[in-house]
Amino acid sequence: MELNLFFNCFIIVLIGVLIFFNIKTYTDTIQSTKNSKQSYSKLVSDFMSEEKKHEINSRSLILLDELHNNLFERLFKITRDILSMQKIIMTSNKQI
Amino acid sequence: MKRYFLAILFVIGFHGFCQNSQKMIDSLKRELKTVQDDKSKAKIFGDLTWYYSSISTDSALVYGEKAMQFAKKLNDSTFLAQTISDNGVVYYLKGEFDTAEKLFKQSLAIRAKIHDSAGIASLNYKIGNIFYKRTLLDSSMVYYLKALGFYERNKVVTVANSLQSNIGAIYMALKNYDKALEYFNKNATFFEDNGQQELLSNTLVNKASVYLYKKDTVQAISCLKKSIETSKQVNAYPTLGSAYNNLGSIYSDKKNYQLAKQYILKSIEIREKANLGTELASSKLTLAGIYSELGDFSKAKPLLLNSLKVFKNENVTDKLLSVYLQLIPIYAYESKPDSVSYYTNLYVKEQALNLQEKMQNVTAELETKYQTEKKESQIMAQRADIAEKELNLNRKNTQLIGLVVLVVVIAIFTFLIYKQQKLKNNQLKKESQLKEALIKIESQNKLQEQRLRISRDLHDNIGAQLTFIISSVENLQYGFKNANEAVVNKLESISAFTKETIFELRDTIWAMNKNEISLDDLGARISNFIERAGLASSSIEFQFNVDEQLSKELSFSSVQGMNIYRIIQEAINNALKYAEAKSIKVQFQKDSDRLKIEIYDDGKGFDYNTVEHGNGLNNMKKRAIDMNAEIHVESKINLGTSVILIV
Repeated sequence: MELNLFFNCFIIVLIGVLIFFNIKTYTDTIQSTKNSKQSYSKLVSDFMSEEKKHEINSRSLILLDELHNNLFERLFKITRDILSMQKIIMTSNKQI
Repeated sequence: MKRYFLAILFVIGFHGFCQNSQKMIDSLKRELKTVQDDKSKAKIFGDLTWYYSSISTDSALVYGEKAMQFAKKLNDSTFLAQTISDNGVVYYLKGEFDTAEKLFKQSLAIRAKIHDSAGIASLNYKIGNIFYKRTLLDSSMVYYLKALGFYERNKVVTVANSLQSNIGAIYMALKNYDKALEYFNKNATFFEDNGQQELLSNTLVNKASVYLYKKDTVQAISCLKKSIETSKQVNAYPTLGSAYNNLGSIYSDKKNYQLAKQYILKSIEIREKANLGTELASSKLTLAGIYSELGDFSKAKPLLLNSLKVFKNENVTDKLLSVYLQLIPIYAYESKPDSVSYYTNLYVKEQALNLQEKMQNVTAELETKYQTEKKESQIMAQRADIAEKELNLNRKNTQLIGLVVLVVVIAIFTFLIYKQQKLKNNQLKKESQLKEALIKIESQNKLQEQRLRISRDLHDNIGAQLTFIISSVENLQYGFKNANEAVVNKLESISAFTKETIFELRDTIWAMNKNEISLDDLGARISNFIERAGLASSSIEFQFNVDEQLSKELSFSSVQGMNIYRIIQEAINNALKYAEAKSIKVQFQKDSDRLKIEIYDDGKGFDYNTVEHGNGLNNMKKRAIDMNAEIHVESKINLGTSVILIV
């Protein structure tokens, strides 16, 4: 009789404790999901911002590449013109 | 007298039943010859049992046995219970109470199995009657109360009142007169309200008996007189006879012999008329007693001898004793010692037998009580055992339910943990993927920014170098002012080209420093360029128009803005170099939801199909393709050229 009573009490207590843990786990899951969503959305916004930055940088780099090509050609032409002018000067000085 | 009163209660149930029974039996026998199916035959046998029970119990039993055989054959529980019960009634009427009880209990078991509440109540009533007959009043009361419960619940008032009447009689026998009176009063009220005069008169006789036991002769007389009035109205002779007889007995006890005689004579008259043998003998015995009291032995003697015959035939022992007792003084008065001795011996013998019988009855009753109590204690022990087992079973069930609940809760807990873990894993996975991508893009951005920073430094450096070149060239120009014309031209060319390079560098840096280039920014830049071109070529008129309908919020990416700027620049430069134009127009117009840019010059034009396309035209096309725009070059000789760009 006492053993039965003890057993029943034990089961009731166990069920109670487990129900408490169930509720705790459930609320924890909800909280964790909420937190996770927040941190994830922060990450997404960071990523978007970085992506935008990347896009702007990429455009700048395209312009930069183009500029460098141009600059190279122009500097080459300037050098060539200076050399050509030097040649003219040298030739005229020789004649003198 | 008490026994007589109680007997009346049970006679009523069968009163009038015998009438027309023979007719019914004949009719049923005729019907039996015509029917073929077992069910109809069984029903007829059952009915024959019932109708024969009031005429010939032996015949009733023969048909009852047949009805039972058919009921078993048909496997009809209801019908079987009915036939067994009918046979029980027959045995009851035969006075074989043991067999009747056995059959009633068999029927009761079947009816209980099929949950026939009405049948169960009827059988309880019948078993109660058997116990009553055996003067086992306690058991009788138990069965009556069980039956009464059903009839009261279902408002079968007539049967309920009949039962109440019997219960009242039991209380009377148990000397609980108040309780008996309570039941009889209830009965009387009900019968009076429902106009059941015969039953009312009978109940009034019973009430009178109770009052007599309570020594309240006034009330007893009142009840009996009322009963006489009621009985007369409905010709209820048995009850009327009883009422007169009882009234006579009361007055006899009160020594009012004249009045007593008068009532007893009326009772005799009625009982003779109704052919109630035993009851008549009883009245005669009472009258004989009155005559004896009055000393009129000559009138008393024939009455007593007449009663003696009847009581001997009917074997009514207590009445016989009374007759013997009254005959003894009469024969003594007549000086007949032999007769006195004879009746004295008979009286003593009968008394002894009566006593012995009573002793046997009491012993039997005690034995029955002992057996009943023994069985009851066994039943109690069994019930306790069953209750304990049920308790154990309930306990086990509770534990089982508890365990099931526990398992369910554990399962839910496990599921929740699993779900939580899965969710966490998914979240972590997604987060890590995103973080990875973020890190990658961040590192790429860092690299790009580093490259841009280096480039900016480089541009600053190149800008400074170019400025130095321009300054040096201008100094040289000043130094070679009077020198070789070719050198001067070359120096001018280098200076102009270097300035152009610086502008190009500045334009690109402007575009690079802007995340987005608005229409206003682009317009300002183009105006600036046109202004410089105008300074360089003062003979050409420049116009720059922006359509008012164009949205001010229109904007381009830095690459798009730069490409548009370069295309316009290239078109203007081409016009300046080759067209010999007088005016150059640049127009920004709205073309549905797109921007249309037109660079028009009124120069000499060219044949687009024949002329060789140089780098300038090809670059413009390439830039247009890069930014998904359309470009059209339209030119006719001497009709100018227009370059149309649709963004």
